Amino acid sequence: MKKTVTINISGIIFHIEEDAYDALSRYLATIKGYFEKSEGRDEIMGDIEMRIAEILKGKISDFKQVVTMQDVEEVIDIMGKPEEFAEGAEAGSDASEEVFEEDIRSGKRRRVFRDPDNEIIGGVCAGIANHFDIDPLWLRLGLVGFTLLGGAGILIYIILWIVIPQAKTTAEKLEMRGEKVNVKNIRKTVEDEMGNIKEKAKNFGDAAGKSFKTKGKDAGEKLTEFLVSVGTSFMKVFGKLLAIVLIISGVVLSIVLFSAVFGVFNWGWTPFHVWIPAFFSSGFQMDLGFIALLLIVGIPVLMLIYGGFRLLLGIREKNRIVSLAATILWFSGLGLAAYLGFEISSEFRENARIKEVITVRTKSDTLYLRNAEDFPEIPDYDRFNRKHRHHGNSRGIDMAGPVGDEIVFGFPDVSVEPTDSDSFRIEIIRGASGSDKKSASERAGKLMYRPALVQDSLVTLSEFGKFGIAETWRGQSVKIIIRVPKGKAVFFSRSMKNLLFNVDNIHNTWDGNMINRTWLMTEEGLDCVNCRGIDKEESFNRKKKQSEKDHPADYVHFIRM
Amino acid sequence: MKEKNIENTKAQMKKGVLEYCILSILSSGDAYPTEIIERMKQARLVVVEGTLYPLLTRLKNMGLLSYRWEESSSGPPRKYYRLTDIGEQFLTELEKTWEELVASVNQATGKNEK
Repeated sequence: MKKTVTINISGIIFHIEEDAYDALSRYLATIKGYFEKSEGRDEIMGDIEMRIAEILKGKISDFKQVVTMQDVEEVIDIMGKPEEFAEGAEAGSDASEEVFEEDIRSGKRRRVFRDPDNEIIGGVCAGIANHFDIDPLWLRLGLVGFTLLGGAGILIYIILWIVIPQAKTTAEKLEMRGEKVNVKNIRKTVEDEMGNIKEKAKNFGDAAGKSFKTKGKDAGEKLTEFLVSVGTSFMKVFGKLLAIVLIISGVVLSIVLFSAVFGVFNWGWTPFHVWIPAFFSSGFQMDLGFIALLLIVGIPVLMLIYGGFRLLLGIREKNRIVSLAATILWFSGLGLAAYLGFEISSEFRENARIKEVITVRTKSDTLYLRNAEDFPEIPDYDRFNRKHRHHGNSRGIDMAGPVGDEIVFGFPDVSVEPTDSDSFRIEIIRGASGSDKKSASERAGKLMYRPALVQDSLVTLSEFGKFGIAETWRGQSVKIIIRVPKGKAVFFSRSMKNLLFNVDNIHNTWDGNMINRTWLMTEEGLDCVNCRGIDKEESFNRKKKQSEKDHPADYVHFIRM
Repeated sequence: MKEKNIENTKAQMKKGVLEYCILSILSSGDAYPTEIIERMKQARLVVVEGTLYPLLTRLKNMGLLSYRWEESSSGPPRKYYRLTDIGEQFLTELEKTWEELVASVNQATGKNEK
């Protein structure tokens, strides 16, 4: 018993034994390779196939329905091997022999397949090694090296495994070992494609000329056909270039993605990875966040590499499973992110505040406020940190960063309110959010703000609060209200600039201009004691404020002077 | 390598002659490739059929031959080739050239001196 396959030669159907089929297709491929450079190759092949069909037809009868190896051998004897064609060939000399020697193995242009005969895992290395005629050992070593360096080897291997089909049939195994892939042949391919375009243009010109006389419609069809074929030829040439660009950018992006997430590299000003735990309220939530990020960003990056390899290796077979899986994974990443966003925003639902009051015992009528300027150094964060401090306009959290197991943040908002009591008071309000009242107030309770240092009438305010990374960042804030009895005054030292936030006063003076001045609490509100001509100065400052919007850098410069 | 060179020279010599023969055969009437090859095989000019097809295609592309399709009882339709007017002219010229060539070659190689 022998397996047969059904083939179609010149429109006639034959049942042919498998070994005979392999021999025949190898033979045809050899001829095709031989005529690669000849003009009218397709026509010659058509004629030869037609003749083969005729011969085979004569060998089939009702009693012998299947084409056998012997039949094929006879066909080859009659038609002759390409080396016997020499006398009729186009360029009888170099082309015939050179091409033939290389093509004798199969004659077909080589395609990449995974090699199941030499596989260790999936035959990827063996297959690529076949393609480029190198020893698979080097590829395997390289892959292991990449894996040890950063795990990229495994990723590349898996992608290639998916991209490259396995050589299953004999014909595919032959294609796998077809014509050598080297610079010469790549050049040949490019030249062939360019030649194709020329030939097609010529054919099109001829056809268009003819059909113009007969049918106008035909010309339109020919034109599209022509454009499509020219387009595909160009695509083939420039597709390779595009493929390399795709793979390189895909690999670079995945390195960036991985290092951003796992903090392999130190980016100088933002230790991104240290931050991550502060945003998620549980390890589980963080894992979900990782997965969502990896899916949403990683899948397109992987598809970039995947598409690049497909293009580069010229694989046309569609892989529905891959595109389906990629789509599903990407959308599930999106779903996960949406779920996480909902989860996290629900943890901001309730707010809680804890108030602490310090009464200042002093005989002075003026309270002197200054900034302790004690913001801790945040490792790896300093450049960003310092830059930010100069621009600091004291609104909410202006700067924050991890120090050890804690997140430190600044600056507290300081405002001034009147009080009916006789003495100055400092109210420290710590706030935080949570999914319910209880968790919000627990979180606020765990927020640490070192109480201000009071020495008689001199109050030194610390400029940062902190909380453990495990507490999670959920709207923690520190607000300080200075309660000033009516008839008493408050003085802001220059260092308070970062801390003052919307301090009401009857001059509507901007916070930044309230420093280095004494303010008296009157019935109407804070009044400036030692600022003669403040109104004039204010209008000047408003102008400056306008120009701040236009030229922020100039403004900062101005303030520092 | 040496043997290959000899083969190559032989092939080069045959190449031009084969075209002349094909045109000659077709001048006596239309024929399809198998018929042409039969006659050439008889004359031991070619051994395998594969040789013929590229030649026919080239001659056709040069405008020396044209063909028509004819149904066949024993397989796919056949291409029947015939000589075009240009082909006829070309053949006449080739015949002249061939005779001159044979004479010249014989003279040059000294085979004509009887």
